[in-house]
Amino acid sequence: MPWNNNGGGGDGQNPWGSGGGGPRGGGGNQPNVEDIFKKGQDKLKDALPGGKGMFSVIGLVALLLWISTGYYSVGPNEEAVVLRFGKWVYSTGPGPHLHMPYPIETEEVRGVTNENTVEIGSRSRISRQGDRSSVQQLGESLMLTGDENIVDIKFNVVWRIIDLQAYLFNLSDPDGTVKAVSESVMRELVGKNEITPIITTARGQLETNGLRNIQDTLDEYQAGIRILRVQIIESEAPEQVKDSFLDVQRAEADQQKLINEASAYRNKVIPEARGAAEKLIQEAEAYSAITVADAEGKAARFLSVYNEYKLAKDVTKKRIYLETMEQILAGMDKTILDSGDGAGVIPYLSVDELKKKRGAGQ
Amino acid sequence: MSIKTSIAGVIAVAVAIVAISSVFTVTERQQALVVQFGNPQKEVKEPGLYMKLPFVQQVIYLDKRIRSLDVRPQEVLASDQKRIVVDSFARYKIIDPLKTYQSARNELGAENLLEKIMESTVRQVLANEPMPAIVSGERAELMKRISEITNVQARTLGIEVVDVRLKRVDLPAQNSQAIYDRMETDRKREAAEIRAEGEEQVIKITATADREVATLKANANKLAQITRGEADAKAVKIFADAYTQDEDFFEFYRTMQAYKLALKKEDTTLVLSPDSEFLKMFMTLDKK
Repeated sequence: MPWNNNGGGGDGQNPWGSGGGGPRGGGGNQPNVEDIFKKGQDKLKDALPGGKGMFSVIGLVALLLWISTGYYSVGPNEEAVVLRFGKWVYSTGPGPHLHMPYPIETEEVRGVTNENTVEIGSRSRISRQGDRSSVQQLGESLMLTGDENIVDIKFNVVWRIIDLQAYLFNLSDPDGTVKAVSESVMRELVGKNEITPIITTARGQLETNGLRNIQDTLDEYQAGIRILRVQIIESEAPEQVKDSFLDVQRAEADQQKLINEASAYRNKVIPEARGAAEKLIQEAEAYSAITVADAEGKAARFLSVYNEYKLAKDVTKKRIYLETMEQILAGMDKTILDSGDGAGVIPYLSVDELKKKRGAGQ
Repeated sequence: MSIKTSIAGVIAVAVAIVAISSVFTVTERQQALVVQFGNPQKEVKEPGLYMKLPFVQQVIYLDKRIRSLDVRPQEVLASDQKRIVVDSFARYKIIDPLKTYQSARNELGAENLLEKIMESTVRQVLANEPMPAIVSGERAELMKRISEITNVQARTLGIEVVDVRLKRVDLPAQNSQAIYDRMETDRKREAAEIRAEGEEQVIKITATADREVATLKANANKLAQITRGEADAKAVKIFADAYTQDEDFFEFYRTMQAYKLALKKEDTTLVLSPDSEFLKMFMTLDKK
């Protein structure tokens, strides 16, 4: 009668009845198992001597197998919840554990420190050679902006479980919910912005606002999920109009180039002009100094001579006259023509000849 | 012995079957209805182990978690007669399993009904809004209104709509090309504008620079002329101060100097009369 033999359970001593303080964690169950084992063995020895030994051995093995259904192990990155008849009784951390055997208790184990990534707008594929490539999902990535343009945004949402119980029991499809909420939030944000900031400067803002809104919505569902990061992978104009957007960037570069060239011109001619102006002024100053000094010199020279002249007017005047004449006439071509006594001779003087003579003399 | 044992075994098996069919478990994810010949007897919302009458009572399980319903994309006419494609989803949970069971049997049936309600509500709410308000306006407000209206009808299905979210709000595919064309012309215009602005800047900068150059030079020239004029005036005064002391002597002295500089032996030929002042002693010792 295998039913009655089974681990001596027939006498009303529930193996799990004595271990009823279950919710204290897996470790607490270990001694109970040994008790049960010993008790069962003793009873079997007492009650079933001789030929019935076969039954007792089979029963014992069956019992051990049954108990072993309560064994489970939790990895270092994992957490487990234990359910008794489907109702949560306790959670356990990493390590090997034992709960009451099936079907009384069951466990569910999930990685709680794992980071999960939801890709929106593209799907990563890892080929057999290990190369990463991504496949576009235009239906997801093309979004309508507030100024009725279409923008191509690909982004990732990274999340992990922070409340395993909530994660398991509050949402029927938590992973899908993260994706749907992320998409909805991002589309709403994009719909409120214009295309130019979205593809240029507002990415960071989009990421932070997106993260906050996604988290808020998930908190409303009590999803037990923490959004760690929202990363915009790509945010640009759609393929069809990329060229014209690039042309705008080129135009901006062209504009900058033209302005730089003009500035360079300005930076060249203005200092040059300043230099030229300074030169004019300095030249005038020099002229001024020269002119005044010259005048002062000449005046002083005159005054010196004059002061001496005052002392002996006639002599000085004559001396100056004669010295001057002497200086001038010395070595100069001179023709002395007597006007009085040479009557009858018409003096002829060829100016050309005079000049020739002078040319040869040089 | 063997007959007795067999009978006992049969009885034990029977007892076990009865025992098994008189208990049921409800997990954290579930809620349950106990149904007797099709008539609901009781509702179980808490997880755990429960008793029921064996064989005559059956257990219907329904999901207790928040479930998601992705409504298929639908084309909606906005109040400004623009067509838009709206993709929405709802989060809902079964709060009255009995009603859900009676009206829809199970989750799938409830979802089909809810989807129809959602579709008509979305259409109805968005038809009162112009397209820009739907795309970029306060979506939260629209979503709240949709979920409120949906909720009223969903309650008859024993369902509470937690929230409704608009996922994609797009123009129909056939309009996309028109948008792309417009985006392209917009960008071309923008690029042309940027380039023209560049030219404008260049002209502005160079013209300003040229003006500054001209101004600098003119001012410098002015200053130079003033300086030179002042110097000239000073010189005039210095000369005047010196020479007015004796104008006759100045004339004589200055003339002598002028002769020295003006009459050079290289380019001057003098035709002198012996009567001249310088030669007056040349012919006679004293002519006077």
